[in-house]
Amino acid sequence: MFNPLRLCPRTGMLFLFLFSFSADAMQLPPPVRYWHGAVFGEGDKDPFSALASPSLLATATAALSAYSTWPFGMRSVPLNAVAAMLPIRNMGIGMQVMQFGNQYWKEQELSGGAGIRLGKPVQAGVQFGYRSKAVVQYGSSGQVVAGAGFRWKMGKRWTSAMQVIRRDYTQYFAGIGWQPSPDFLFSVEGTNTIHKDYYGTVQAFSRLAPALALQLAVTGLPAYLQTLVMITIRQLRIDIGAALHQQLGLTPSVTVVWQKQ
Amino acid sequence: MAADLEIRAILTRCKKQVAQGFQAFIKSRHHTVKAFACLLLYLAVIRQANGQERKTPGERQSPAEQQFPAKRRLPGDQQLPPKRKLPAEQHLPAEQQFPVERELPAEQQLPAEQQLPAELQQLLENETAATTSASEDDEQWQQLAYRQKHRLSLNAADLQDLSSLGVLSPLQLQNLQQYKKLLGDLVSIYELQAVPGFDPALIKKLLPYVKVGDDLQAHYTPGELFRKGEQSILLRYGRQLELPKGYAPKDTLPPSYSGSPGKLFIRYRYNFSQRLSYGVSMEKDAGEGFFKGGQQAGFDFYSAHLFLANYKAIRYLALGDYAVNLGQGLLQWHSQAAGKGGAVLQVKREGPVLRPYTSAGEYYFFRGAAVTARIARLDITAFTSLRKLDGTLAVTDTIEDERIATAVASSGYHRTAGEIEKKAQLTQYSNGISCRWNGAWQAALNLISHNFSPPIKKEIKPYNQFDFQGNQLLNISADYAGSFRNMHLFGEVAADKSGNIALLQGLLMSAGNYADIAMVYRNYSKQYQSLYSKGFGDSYKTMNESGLYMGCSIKLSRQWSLDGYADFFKFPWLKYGVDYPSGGTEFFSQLSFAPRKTSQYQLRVKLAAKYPDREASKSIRCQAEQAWSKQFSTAARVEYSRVTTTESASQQGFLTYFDLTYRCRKLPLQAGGRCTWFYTDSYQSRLYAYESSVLYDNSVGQYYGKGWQYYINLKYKIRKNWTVWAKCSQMYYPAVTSIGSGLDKIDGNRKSAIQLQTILNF
Repeated sequence: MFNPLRLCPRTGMLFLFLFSFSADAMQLPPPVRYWHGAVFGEGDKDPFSALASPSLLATATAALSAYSTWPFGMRSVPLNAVAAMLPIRNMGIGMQVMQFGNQYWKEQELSGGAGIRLGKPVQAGVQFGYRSKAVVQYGSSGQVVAGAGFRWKMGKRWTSAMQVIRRDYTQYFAGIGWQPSPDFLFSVEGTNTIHKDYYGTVQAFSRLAPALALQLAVTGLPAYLQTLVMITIRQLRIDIGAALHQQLGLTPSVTVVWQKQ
Repeated sequence: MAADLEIRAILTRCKKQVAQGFQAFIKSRHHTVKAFACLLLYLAVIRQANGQERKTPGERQSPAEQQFPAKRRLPGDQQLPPKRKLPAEQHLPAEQQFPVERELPAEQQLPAEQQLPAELQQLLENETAATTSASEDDEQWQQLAYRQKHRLSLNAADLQDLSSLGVLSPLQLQNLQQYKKLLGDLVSIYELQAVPGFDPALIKKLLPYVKVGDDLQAHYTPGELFRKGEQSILLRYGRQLELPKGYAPKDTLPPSYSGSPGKLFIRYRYNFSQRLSYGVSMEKDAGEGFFKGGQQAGFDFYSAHLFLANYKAIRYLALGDYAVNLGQGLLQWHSQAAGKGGAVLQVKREGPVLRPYTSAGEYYFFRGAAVTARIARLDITAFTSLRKLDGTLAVTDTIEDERIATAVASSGYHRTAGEIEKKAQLTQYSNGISCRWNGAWQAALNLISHNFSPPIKKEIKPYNQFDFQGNQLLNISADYAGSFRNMHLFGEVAADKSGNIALLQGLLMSAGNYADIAMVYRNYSKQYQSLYSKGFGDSYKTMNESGLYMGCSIKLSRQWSLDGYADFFKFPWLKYGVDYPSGGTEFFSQLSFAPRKTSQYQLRVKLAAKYPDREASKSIRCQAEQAWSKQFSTAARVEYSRVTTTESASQQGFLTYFDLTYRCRKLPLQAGGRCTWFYTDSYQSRLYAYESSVLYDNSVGQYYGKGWQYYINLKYKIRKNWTVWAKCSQMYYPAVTSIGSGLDKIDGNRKSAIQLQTILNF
């Protein structure tokens, strides 16, 4: 007979493990890379995209990654992050550290998440974290961030995903992806803003060659165009990206991922 | 039957293997042998299935024999009594015994509807929305109609001929070329299914214009070229029934419009296999005189052309009126040009460098002589033109009293005294040269020069201070196009005399069997000057714009497809009506569902936002087309639009129409009609819809206000070579007492028009 008490030590450990770290991309800067897209397909995952959609952690492989960007080309306020993920039986866990700003103003996030398989077609994940903001001579403040996500493989080619994140407001994500072959993925995702506006993100991913892939994403609000070139060399993957905001300019980014095959 | 199934199974497997092998070949050459072997097997099975001889009884029977097996002899006691013959007086005549519904002979039946393809209809709608007037250029339509009667041989036609159809994208053309290069000429039209990227929907669009077989290229003497072709005469008359204010006399003064309200267009054309074409066109717009006023020579516009193609070393020779298309349109493009719309992958300008000009439009053409000579793979084109343009002249307030042109008019109207005064005031002398290399990659250098007399000097305003002024305009450009694996790259860079640059770079990419992607980056300097350019972009002027366009076409399944694009653009300088640098984004998506060959449904959503005034527009369109039988088909559309600006409240627009088309079986008659209801809050939220009209007439309805519109189209084939059309239409605005403004104002709330056309071929 099923005894729920047997799960307590595991759940407790999970809670403690996740409690001290925070999750997800920051409000500022605006999304320079569309991390959510990976949840709609079976392909290139990395710790950042897995932590952005924690249900992906359920199918995690051991990986380590680093990310750096200059929002709108501003070198004085870079954003740097490192993340790792690890599979544990039918689960996966991940953690992430991110810093944005400089010594006068900075935001820091400590992230953690876990995902679990609930049968073959469904995966679920949770994320917890802590975000702090510090301004010189003004002190600092912090808030807890939490979220949950679900991923459902509806068919051979279709995948849908939903996510809820609670920060200073509750943000919902829902989308669907179509992957007719491992070399092509198309997805559409909708989400809401703090002002109760809704916008969508459309993504197309295409593997041009075994070592080269291209990701294009268009976000509606604010209007953003993101492109990413992924170069894979054995277990190492380098993603070079750029996001274009019409009025604020170009945001370059680079991600390095080491992933165990 | 079992053997048939087996053959079909083998055919299907072989086709798949060939297609897969060919795709793999694109990535790696290791599958070449496998694909080749499968194709040989496939062709052998086709021949076997087609040429199988009747075997003796007991072996495989033909399908006909299986449907109607040989009669069995009944036993003697079950045999039927012998037939009794009727007396002679009771015999009915043969045709009354078993009356058969007689169909018309093939030559009297109306051909498949020569309607403008859906992509060109959309292009016209977009062009009309941007320029508020429908283009009169029908050359592409004439080409397609000609190709329906004289199909292009897929094996013999070159790349330019196939691309000029406007059906195949560069990627698809590349695949077809690669397929023919690898496996030889096509054996059957059905073999198109084996070409990668050719799905049933595309083949259905292409089939009316192409054929396989009969690939011998006949050689004709010059005399035969002039004798063996087809001649046609087109006469078109149209008229608005309610007379606008411009036709009414004002007190003792004559009416403002000097002529009659009828619009008359006559065109004679001789065409031989697209190799020789000559003809004349004459046109008179409504309100223009006829042998009086400003038109003492009869018609207001005369045009003549002689066009020779593929004669020895001459690729094209044009005398008279002709159109020139260079590169990607940054320098020179006379013909219709695709822009943003439902065909998200049609972003590349394609077409022959020289084309005969036979349309009724009075602006987008050259008048003179042009020639393209082909030396191996090099095409050298040279052209010269001397013509008169309409313009407003003034005298400068200086000691020299210099005459200048303050504006150039392109409408072609010469109805009022003021318009007649502007007629042919400006002399334009144009020359140009283009050298194009047609290898695996194409590259070209183009140069064009325009000289004006008198010089053009517009009134300088902030938004037009960079427009062309002076008496000479010189442009140079370099363009290229080529394919690499599954990608097709194209681009052009152009410069004017002052060194201002316009740049366009595009990429078409096939992302597997399921998706194609298009990307275009353009950067047109705010100071770039050109005269007949039509570069890809948001505005119809090739200047003061930069942007990035991304389009994607996805085949979700055999029945479902999804197309969409996102365009981010910026105008660094002012524009007419916009007193600050601006920009915007535009998102478009279209979901198509074609459950059967006879029906299609589309859902289209378009969102656009402009800054800094935060103007936003949304548009949703649902369209359904259904062919119920060979005779009867319907179409319907429902469209909603909303425009929001910071200066005014949200403006909404709504339109719905229902189309009906009936093709009579026993008579060579076709009838079609439409009923439209529309409602818009203002002119800002106006809507456009392509209307079916007489053949070769581009008709796009503009809807604003509240009202109804209905029309009926009739087409009757009097003889094999003689067809007549008639169209009656009416616009009804229940809540107004007058329609229009100025000289086009009509008292009353109805606006009716008729159009009659006849085409005689001999």
